[in-house]
Amino acid sequence: MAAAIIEPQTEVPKRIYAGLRSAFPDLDEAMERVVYRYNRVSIRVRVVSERFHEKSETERERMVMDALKVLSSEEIEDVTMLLMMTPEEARKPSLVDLEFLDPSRPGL
Amino acid sequence: MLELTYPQVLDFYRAASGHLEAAKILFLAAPEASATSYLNWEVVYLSGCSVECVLRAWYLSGFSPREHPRLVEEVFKGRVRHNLEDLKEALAESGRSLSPEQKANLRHVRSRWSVEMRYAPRRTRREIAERVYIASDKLFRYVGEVQ
Repeated sequence: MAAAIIEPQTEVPKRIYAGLRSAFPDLDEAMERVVYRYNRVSIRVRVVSERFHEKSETERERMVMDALKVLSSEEIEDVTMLLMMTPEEARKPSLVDLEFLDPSRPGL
Repeated sequence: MLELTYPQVLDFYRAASGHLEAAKILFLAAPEASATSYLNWEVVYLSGCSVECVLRAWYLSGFSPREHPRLVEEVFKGRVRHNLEDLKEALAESGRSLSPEQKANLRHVRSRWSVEMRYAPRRTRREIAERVYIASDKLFRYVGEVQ
């Protein structure tokens, strides 16, 4: 019974990472720098890729969602934070980006 | 429906409405096209504040007003603070869940909004401000109408 509850908590981020990895070959090799479960109803995703160069926010989201088509809509619903940036943009992290990289970071 | 007869719920709902209206006014005042602007950053900040307030109103709406002072201290000032993901979890624990469309809107807001951004102004693209404002407006309307 416990395994049935725990499994989606860990398996969905893994499946998200696998889907993204196939669409974004330059994705970070460390899964925890790309996707992790923040709480029971929230998953955070951060995609850094050259493929986003000169793409609008809407186009970037479409690219990510296309990569996640292997997942059910219910599985994607828990994604509450979706950060999409080029490597150059990632060098100037936003506050939300810093929260992703360090969830325990104290507030100002 | 929100219990707007509860004073604390009404306060959060009014605050959400006010932040959203201010965001709209600033959005209309900001430069057109793809220009970046500090006004667009303000639009994102105020839109996010609106979402936080309307979700707080929804959360408290499910409890007796006698419990509100305790919930404000323990939940809003305690475990949740200004994190929309923690607020989403608190809502889920109290039996309320956003529709799939509204979860996507919450994602659009959360991916750009942090309460700390009030201390860190950045030039922001109009596309971002528009996206966050529209998502916040939809969330506000949804929470106002949801049963």
